[in-house]
Parts: sequence; structure tokens; C-alpha cells
Amino acid sequence: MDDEPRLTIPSNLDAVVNEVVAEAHVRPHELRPEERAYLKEHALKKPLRVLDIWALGVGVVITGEYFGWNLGLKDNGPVAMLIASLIVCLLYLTWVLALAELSVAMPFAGGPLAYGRRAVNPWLGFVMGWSMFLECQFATIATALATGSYIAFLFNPEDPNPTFSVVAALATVLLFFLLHALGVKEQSTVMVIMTYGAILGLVLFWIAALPYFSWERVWPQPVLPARKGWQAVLEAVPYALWWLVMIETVALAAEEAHEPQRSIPRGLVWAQLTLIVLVVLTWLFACGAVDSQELAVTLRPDGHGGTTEELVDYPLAKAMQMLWAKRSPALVYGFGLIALFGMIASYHGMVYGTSRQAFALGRAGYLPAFLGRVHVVRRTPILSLLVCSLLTAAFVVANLWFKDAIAVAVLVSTLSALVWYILAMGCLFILRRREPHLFHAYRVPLHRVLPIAVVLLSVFSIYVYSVINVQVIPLTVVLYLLGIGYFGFWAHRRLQTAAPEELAARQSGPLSETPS
Amino acid sequence: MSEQPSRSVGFLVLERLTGTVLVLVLLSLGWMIGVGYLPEQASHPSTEVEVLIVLGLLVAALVLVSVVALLHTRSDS
Repeated sequence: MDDEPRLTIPSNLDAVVNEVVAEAHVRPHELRPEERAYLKEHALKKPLRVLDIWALGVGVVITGEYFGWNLGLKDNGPVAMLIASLIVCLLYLTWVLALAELSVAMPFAGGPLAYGRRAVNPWLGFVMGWSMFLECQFATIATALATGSYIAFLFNPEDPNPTFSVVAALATVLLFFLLHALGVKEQSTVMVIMTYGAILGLVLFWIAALPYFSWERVWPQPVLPARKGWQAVLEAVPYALWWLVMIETVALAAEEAHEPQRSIPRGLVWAQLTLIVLVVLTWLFACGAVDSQELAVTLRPDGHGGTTEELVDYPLAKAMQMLWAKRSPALVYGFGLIALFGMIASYHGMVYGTSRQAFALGRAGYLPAFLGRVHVVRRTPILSLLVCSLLTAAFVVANLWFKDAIAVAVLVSTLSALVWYILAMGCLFILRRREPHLFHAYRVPLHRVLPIAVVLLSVFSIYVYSVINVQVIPLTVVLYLLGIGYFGFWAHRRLQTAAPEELAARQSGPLSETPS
Repeated sequence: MSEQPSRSVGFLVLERLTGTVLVLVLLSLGWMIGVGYLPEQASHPSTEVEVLIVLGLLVAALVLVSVVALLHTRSDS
């Protein structure tokens, strides 16, 4: 036994535990010894500052510039897509401001789990946490698939091989599982570098598209499709959500943020404003340089003398291929390589979000407890990382038979996100009225109007899912039933009272009592 | 933890204006759903004017909310 190497556990864990307890608005002497030990065993480190929050916010979302949004152009046109995009930009700008208020008040890795738990009861906490988990997990799947597609495009721009695309996606899943297992600070450094690279890629695209830009393509006649009118805008909204979905991942970083009352609001606002500029310019140059329908679909021979429409998974790369392949193949390949930064930066952040949400749900007992364990030395949630990566890999392999996987994953992710945005605003109103002291560190401007705007914009966005012809609503309902079924039949009697989200809820009175 | 600083009159006026524009945008979304069921209006001469008005409202809302958010964040530093 004496010859076995001793594991070195970080000596600042007591300080971390004290900070988590303070953020839960719990006095240290109210903590039982076994609860303190539980927190110490499940503590995350706290190195993130404003620039890290900005990089996390921009980096996790920037993949939306490189794929997904273009599917909204199909049969809807560029102007409808622009209006839908600006509606989504407004939703997310108001959303991140309101989210900052909740996130600073309850800075836990559980995020929505904590908000719902404290505002109402464990059931709402579970539904909100599960919503964000679905949002993150399906966004991760979509991005892994798109990364594989971009890599396959690099190897054969004329006709990317779908099997190679799946293999590349699986390699991405494995690589980033290993990278995330290293620890938060290392991830943050990589994220900042990747984010700058991704932004550089977009700037390169804008410059390359400029010589081919035409205002007639951006503003066609009629401005909205003759057969659809304003319905084209409604149909484009679910895909426009992909520009900006997942920025709320930053809320999960609050437990790992230094001075969250300062770093979270400032980082989020600057990230959102950066993204809005990127959205508008990417839309402008992509739609101005290439026909919008060609950005959305590729016509391929079906072997029977006709053609079949194939959704485009790599619109910017396709545009570069159309514009520059003959004049400068090196530029096309160079852009493709840089575009991978965008995919990878977002994939990085999405794995972070998915694993942290699964970790928080596991730590609190809402999902299997093993998901809530951390590595003894690295303090990273290695088992939740593993499970999320395996789920992603399984869906990636399924893409070999199910070709619309990316579109479905995008829509399930955005629909799940909208559900918890609405519930989060409900929690905000409840907690503001019942526990105003929670919000003494930070309050959002436009105190009443802004959260109401978030709710109405989200309701509007959910409504339009009934307008588009994709069967994601039943699939999403099934996923919710699976989660709620597990929680109802098993987990809700086995909640972990020492988890930060449960400690925080203990302060809010009778509703906070854990069901026996 | 920082306390919220008192708001200037100018900032309050800006907030009121932003709130008004946000309400107008929300009303336009309701109108959009209603008129979305009337696709035969798509080639109507007023469609381009409608598009410009909606775009103008959205841009105004984005600019105003951004300004308010930045001023608010700076005042908290």
C-alpha cells in the first residue's frame, strides 16, 4: 500500500465549497458535515473571467454561421430569412439579458435545474434541466455531423463521401472527449483560440464573396415568395434560431466563473452583440454572392433521369466552391480548413454544455448518480462527458441510414430550447416576487418588459413549428416523456439534498421540501 | 456584490422608448401570423413597404436594446 502513488487533491476545495455555499445563499453553519463532504467531492474549479465568458458565448454559437441557418432559405428566399434572423437576434438579445439576472442570482452548473427547483419544485427543475440537456445534446449531434461533412468536403468538394463524413464525425467526438477530460482552464484557452479562428474564417468568406456580390440577389422581386408571402418568414424562423441557439450554455459556466455578478452579464452582452454582427454580415454576403436556393439544396441525379434535392450541410464552403474553385482552389481548401475552427469551437462549447448539464442533473439525483461524479484530480465530470459522447456517436452512425439527421437535430435542439426559455421567465417572475433578495447583485434593464418580450418571442417561435412540414414535434414529445417517466418513477424519490441546487432551494420555504 | 446605481433621467427615457419599440415589434409578430394565412397578398404592391416597416422596427429594437444593455452593463462595472 505504501508503494502506491498518492493522488493529490487540490487544496483550495474548501474555498470553492464556501463560494458555492455563499452563492446558494446558505450560511456555512447550516451545512451538515456529510453535505460539505459531498460538495467537496463534487466541486468544479472557478477560473473563468469576462473574456472567457465572451469566448464561450461566441464560440459555442458560431457554428450556426457555418451551417443550419441556410435550410431556412429553401423556398423562402433571402428577405424572409433576414426578417426571421432579426426576430431571432432580438429574442436572443433580450433572452441573454434576462438569463444573466437568473444566472448571477443562482450561479450553479445546473442552470435551469436550479431555477425551476427553487422557483417551484423538483418537477419543474427536472423539466427545465432536461430541456436544456436535450437542447445541448442534439446541438452536439448536429454539429458533429456537420463537422464530418466539412471534413468530407475538404477531401472531395465535388461529391463528398457520406461514409467518410461519418468516420470524420466519430473521430471528432473521440478527440474532444479526450480534450475535455483534461480540465476547464485548458478548454478555455483552446476555446478562445478557436473562436478567433472561426471569426477569421467568416471575415475571409465575406471578403471572398464581395467580388460576386449583387443587391438583386439580396433583394429580389417580389421580396417575399409569390406563393407564400409572409408565411415564408414564419417557415424560416425555426432555422434562423440555429444562428444563436446554445448561447445559454454560458449560464452553466456561472459556477466556474470568477465574480459571476460581473463576468456573466458583461461577457454575455458582448458575446450576443458580436454574434448579431456576424449573423447579419454572413447572411448579406452569402445571399449576395450565390443564389439563395443553391445555398439551401443541391440537385443530384436520382438515377432515373430526374433529380433529387439534397440539403446542404456546408453552405459557406459550397459558396466558396462555386465562386473560387476554378480561379483559386487553394482559397477554397484554405477556407474549408478555417471553417473547421467554427465547427470545432462550437462543438467544444456544446460538449461543455451537454456534459455540465448532465453532471448537474446527476449530482442532484435527477439523472443517474454516476453522471455527477468528477475526476479526483482534474475535477472534470468525466463520466457525463463519456455518456454524452457515446450518445453523439450513436446518432452520428445512424446518419448512414437517416440522411436528414442534421435538420432534425437542429429543430429538436431549438424547440427544446424554446420550452425552457419560457419556463425560465416564469421562474424569474416568481422568484422576483417571492425572493427579491436573490437579485441584489444584478438586475436586468427594462425590468418588466424585457422578460415578457422573451416569453412572447419564444411563444411565437414555438408556434411556427406547426407551420413547417417537419415531424419534430412528436419526436420531441417522446423524448420529454422518456425523461419525465424516468424522473417520475425513479429519480424524484432519490434526490441528493447536498447538491448546490437543492441547498439553494432549501432557503425558499415550504415548496423547497424534497419529496420523500 | 455591487449595488444597482441610480438611473439618470436620460437612461429612463431611453428605457421607455426601447420598451415602446419592443411592444410594437411584438404587435407586428401577431400581424405577421395573421397575414401569413393570406399568401395571395404576397405580390401586393404594399408588401415591399410592409417588409421595410418590419425591418425598420426590428433594427430599431435591436439598436435600442443593445444601447440600453451596454449602458447598463457599464454602469455595473
